[in-house]
This record gives sequence, C-alpha cells and structure tokens, in this order.
Amino acid sequence: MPILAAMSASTLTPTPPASPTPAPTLGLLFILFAKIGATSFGGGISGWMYRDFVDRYHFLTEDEFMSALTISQILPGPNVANLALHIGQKLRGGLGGLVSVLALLVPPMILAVLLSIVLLDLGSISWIHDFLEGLAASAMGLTASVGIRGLKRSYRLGLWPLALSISVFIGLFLLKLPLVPVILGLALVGLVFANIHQKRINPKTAKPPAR
Amino acid sequence: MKTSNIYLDLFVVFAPLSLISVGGGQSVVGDMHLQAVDIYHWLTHAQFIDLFAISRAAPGPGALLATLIGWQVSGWQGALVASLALFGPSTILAYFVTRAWHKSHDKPWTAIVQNALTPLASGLLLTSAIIILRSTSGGVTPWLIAGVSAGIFWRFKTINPLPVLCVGGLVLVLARLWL
Repeated sequence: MPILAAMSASTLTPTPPASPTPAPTLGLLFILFAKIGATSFGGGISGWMYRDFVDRYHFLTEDEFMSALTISQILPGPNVANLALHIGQKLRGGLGGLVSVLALLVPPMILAVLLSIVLLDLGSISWIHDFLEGLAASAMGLTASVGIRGLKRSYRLGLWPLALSISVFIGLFLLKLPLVPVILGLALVGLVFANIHQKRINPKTAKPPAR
Repeated sequence: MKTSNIYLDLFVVFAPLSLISVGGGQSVVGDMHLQAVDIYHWLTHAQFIDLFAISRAAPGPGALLATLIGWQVSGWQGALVASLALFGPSTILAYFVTRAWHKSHDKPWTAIVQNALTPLASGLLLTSAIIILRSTSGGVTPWLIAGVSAGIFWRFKTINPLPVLCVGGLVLVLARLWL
C-alpha cells in the first residue's frame, strides 16, 4: 500500500529526531541563559534550566542534568553559575561555559540594581512584598517539580535511590548537617548501590568472561 | 583588613566568600551581613534586610546580593567589583573541575556515577524548596501556591513558567487582602 506508506512517512517527518540533538550555537546558548537570567523571578533557576535544556531542546539527558546539578552543588560558589558553566562547557567547550555564565549573570545584575532603586522607595507598600513572596513560592513549586521528576526516574533502579533522596533531606533539613560532607558521604553510598545494580543488569561488564 | 581603597575592600570581602560558599548562597549570607554591617559599616541592618529580600525576588541567582551591596557602597563600579569577586574565583575552579569531568565522560562508569548522583540532586532540590518555603512569612498559602505550581509544572513540561509565577504572586496578594 504505497499511499499508506507515503502518508505515514509524511506524518513522521515533522517529529524531531529522537537521539542526537546537534549542539546549540554560542548565540543560542547566550539567548537561552540570558532569558533564564532575566526572567527567573523568585529563584528556582535550576528548574528553568531543566525545562529548556532537557525538556524543550533535549541538549542533555535527565541523568546528565541531575549529575551536573549535584556536582555544581558540591563545588564552592553560587551553584547555578556552576551549573550554567557545566552545561555551556559540555555543549560548546570553555568558551561556551564563559558565554553561559555571563549570559546568566549580567542581565539579572542590571535588573536587580534597577529593581532595588525602585523597590527601596516603594518598600513600605505591603502588597509588593506579598506579590514577590507568592512569586517565590510558585518558583519553589517549579524547583520541587524537577525534584519529583528525578525521584520518579531513579525509582526504576529500585528503592535505594529513594532512600538516598530522603537521607539528603534528613541530613540537611532535620539534622542541619553541613552540605558537602553529607553529599560526599551519600555519593559514596550511592556509588556502591549503583555499582551493584550495574552488575545485576549487565553481568558481562562486571565479571571476567567465563571459559 | 580595612584598606583605604573601597574597591580593594569589596574584593577582599567577597573573593574569599566565593570559595567558601558551598551549597548555595544561604551559608554566606550571615558572613556578608557581618562584614557589610558590623565590620565595614557599609550598610545598616535594615538596608541589608531590604537588599536581601530584593536579591531573593529579583531574577537570577540569590548571590546577586553581593552585586547589590557593591552598588550601595560605590555605584556601578562597586557592583562590578563585588560581582567579579564573588563569581570569579569559584567559576575558575569550577571550570577546571568540569573540564576534568567531561574528559572522563565516555568511560563506562559514567552511567554508574549518574545513577548515584541523580537521587542526591532530587533530594537537594526538594530540600531547598522546603527550606525557602519555610522562610516565607507564615501561613499555608505559600505552601498551597507551591504545591499547585509544582502540579502544573509536572503536568505541562514546556509551559512558560513566568505567567504561572505571576499568578502565584497575585494569589498571595489577594489571599492576604481577603483572609
């Protein structure tokens, strides 16, 4: 049935190719990060990055993004700057990293100064304060939605990733322990479990070939 | 370590914080307060609180608080020096770590490392959302706004967040007016 074949071919063409997304140009990197930097009112920046780089453009896989996020948190310095550097560097090398960090930081720097000029005069108006707080609360919903997505994704490996995520919460929120030792320690535990998991699903790579 | 040069002072205050601040800006805000208010007397306590609130609400990372302090101290040049001091050293360090990470990226253990790190990222994201929500000024409304927003962002993967955030802001304004 040639007609049907032609039809299915034409309906298939507009869907984007699934796996190899070409790396973005430096210009697109700049535009994406500048847009995030200039519009991410109330925080939740990693959620914004996730939506653009994983969901919309598929430049990174979910696992790549989440690993980059953890590394950015362990490193010193503002972690969203580290995350932007990591993503830019992965996609376009060192120059890509530099462009990404500058695009993420410079527009909101200018905006923050302008905003402070305006708001320090209007600061007594309480509804502005309420509006900004509601905005920040909504932005935390964005952050949480990426976290929940990650929980769901790692659940496919079993229950141990869930236990790790809960341990992060217990360590940092309930016990108020310092972040770096908690994350490094739990990363070691995670490596042990991930290694066991890998051996179970793919024994060939783990064991020497049986003769 | 006060010097006679205001730009040098800004650099001396913020550059070490760049390399000390781990796990988000929260940990260094206390130290910024100590330096800017108590040691250098650049700002009053009330001014500091105002700038902190603005840095949280403004787009971009919360660490832009350093930019705002620099701007209060000596205008655009101050903002530039403080920003470079706070973001520069950590970015240079992150560059080298990231380069090493990407060089070893095609090794077979990459999948194992990613499987180990993803649950930590999930835990970090949820914990930071809860910490920030708890610092809002009371009531269940911010939590409800966050919950409904999370549901929307979960359901609609590529929706533009900004309109949703603005509705969140309006809801809190109306809730505080009427409740």
